[in-house]
Amino acid sequence: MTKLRMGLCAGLLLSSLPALAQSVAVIVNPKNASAVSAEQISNIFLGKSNDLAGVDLPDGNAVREAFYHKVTGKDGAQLKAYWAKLVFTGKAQPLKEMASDADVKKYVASNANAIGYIDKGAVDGSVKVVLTP
Amino acid sequence: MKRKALAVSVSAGIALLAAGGVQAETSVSFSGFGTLGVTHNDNRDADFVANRFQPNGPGKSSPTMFGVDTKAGVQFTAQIGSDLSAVVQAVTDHRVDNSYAPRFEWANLKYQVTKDLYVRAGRVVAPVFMVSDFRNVGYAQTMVRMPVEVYGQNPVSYLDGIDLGYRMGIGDGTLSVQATSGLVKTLAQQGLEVSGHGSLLSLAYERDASTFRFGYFRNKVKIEGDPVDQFLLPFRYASFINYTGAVPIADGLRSRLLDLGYSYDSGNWLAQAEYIQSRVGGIPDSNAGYLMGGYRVGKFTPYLSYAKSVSKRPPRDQQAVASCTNCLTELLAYGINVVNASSHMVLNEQQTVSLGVRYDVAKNVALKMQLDHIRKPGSLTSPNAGWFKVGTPSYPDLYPLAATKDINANLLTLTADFVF
Repeated sequence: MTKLRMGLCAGLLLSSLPALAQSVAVIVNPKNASAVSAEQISNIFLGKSNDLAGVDLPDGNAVREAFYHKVTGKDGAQLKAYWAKLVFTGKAQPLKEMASDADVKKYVASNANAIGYIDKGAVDGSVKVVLTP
Repeated sequence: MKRKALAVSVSAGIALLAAGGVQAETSVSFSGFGTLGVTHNDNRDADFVANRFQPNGPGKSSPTMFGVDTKAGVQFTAQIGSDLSAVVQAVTDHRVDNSYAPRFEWANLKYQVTKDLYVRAGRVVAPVFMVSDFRNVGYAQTMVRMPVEVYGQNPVSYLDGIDLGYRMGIGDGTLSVQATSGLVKTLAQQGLEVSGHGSLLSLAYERDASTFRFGYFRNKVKIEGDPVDQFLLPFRYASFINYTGAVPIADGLRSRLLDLGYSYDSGNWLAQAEYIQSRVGGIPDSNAGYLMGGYRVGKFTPYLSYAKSVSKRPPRDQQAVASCTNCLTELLAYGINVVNASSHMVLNEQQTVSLGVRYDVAKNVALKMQLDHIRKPGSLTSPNAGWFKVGTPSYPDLYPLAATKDINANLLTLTADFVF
C-alpha cells in the first residue's frame, strides 16, 4: 500500500513537472488599456466571467496545461469534470479553440476584447502581455 | 464537449461585424454524456432505486441490475449571434414504464440581456438541489450517484416556463441569482400524472474554492390517474384500507423544499455537503442531508460519504386515520402518497455510508466503484419505507414486507461515465 502510494505520488510529481517548467504569457489586444488581474483571468477561463473573450490552445498542449495549472489551480481530469458541469447546464460554452500559438496571437491581435495565452517565447509586438504566471 | 467544426459563419453575421468587436456568428455544437452502470444488492427484501421514477431495481426483483445509474444524453446548442442561444437536451434512462424512452429534459431559448443578466424561456432546468443542473452527467460528479436520501425527496427536474439569471461580484466572490417559474408536468408512476405550477429561487456564492448554495422551491400540483389503478391502490397500502371510496383526484397539493449546500474543490481535496427540509401537505415532514469528502491521488479519487434522512410524523395523524376528522387533508395526503409510492404514515428514514473511488482512466472517461451500506429501520407499529421501492403497481407485494422490517443492504456499483 505504501509502495503504491509512493508510486502514485512520484507519478503525480513527474506529470506536473513539465507544466511548471513551461513559461506562459497571457496576452490581450494592444488596444485594451484596462488592467487584467490574475483572478479575472482565472474567472474568464473558467467560464465565470464574460469580461473578455478567452481563446484556448488544444487539449493536451503543454502551454495550455501549464497555464491552467498556474492560473486556475486545476489540472486535466479536474478541469474536464468542471467544464462538463458548465456545458451541460448551459451556463457556459467552451472557449474558442485555436490550433497554435501563432493562431492565438493572430486572433488576439485582431479582436479588441480577446484574451489568450501562448508560450512566452512567441510574444511579439502585435499583442500585449498582461500576466506571466 | 468541444465546439465542433460545424460553425457556420453566416455572411450576414460577417456584414454585421462590429469594428473591433468579436465576430458575430452562428454556430451549432453537439455534445453528449452517458453512464453505463451495474448494481448488485445483497438484500432481497426490497428494490433499491436511484429515484422515484424507476419502477424496479436490484433487490427483490433481481439481485443485479443495470438500470440504477445507466443513462445517456445528447445536447444541441445553437449560438445565434452574440446574445441569443438555443439548447435542446434529450435524456434516456430507466423510466416509470420500465423503458428507456428518451425525453426532452431541456429545450429553451436564452437571451443574454447584458453581460451578467440572462432570460431563458421554454423547458428549463429546475435547480431544486445543488447538483440538479448536472444530475444526469455522471462524469461531472465524484460519486456514482447523488444520495437518494436527499435527491429522492423531489422528482421535479425541469419546468416549462421562464428563468432569469443574474450574477454580480460581491467581495472577492461571485453571487449568482436564479429565479425560475413554470409548469410542472410529469408521470410520477405508471398511470399517475402530476401537474401544476412551481417556482424556484436559487442563490450561489462562489469564492475561491468554496461554493455556498441556497435554494427554495415551492409547488402546487394536482394528481390524476387511471381510476381502476386508483381504486385498487388503497388495498395495497395497509393504512389506506379506510379509503377504498376515495376520490381519485387530488388537487391543490402544496409542497416546499429548502436546500442549503456547500462544496469545496481545491487542489487535491474536495468536499460537498447538502441539507434539505421537505414539507409536503399531509405527509410527514422530512429532513435530510449528506456529507462527502474526497482526495485526489493522481487519476484516482477515493471518497467517503454519509447520508441520512429523518421523518417527523405529525401527532394528529394517528387519530385522523381512525376518525377522518379532517377528511380533506386526508384525501390530499392520499394523493401525494400515491406519488411517493409509500403510504401515508409510512416514513422515509434511512442512512447510507458510501465508500468509493473514481478513476479518470482516459480523457473524457471515468470509471467508478462504490460500496453502499444502507440501514433502514422498520416495524409493524412504525412502518418505514426508507427510499426503497415499495408498493408499486408492478410489485404490490413489496410494501408490507419491506416497510415493516429492518433492512441492512450492501450495494456494489460499477460505472463508466463519459462525455463527448
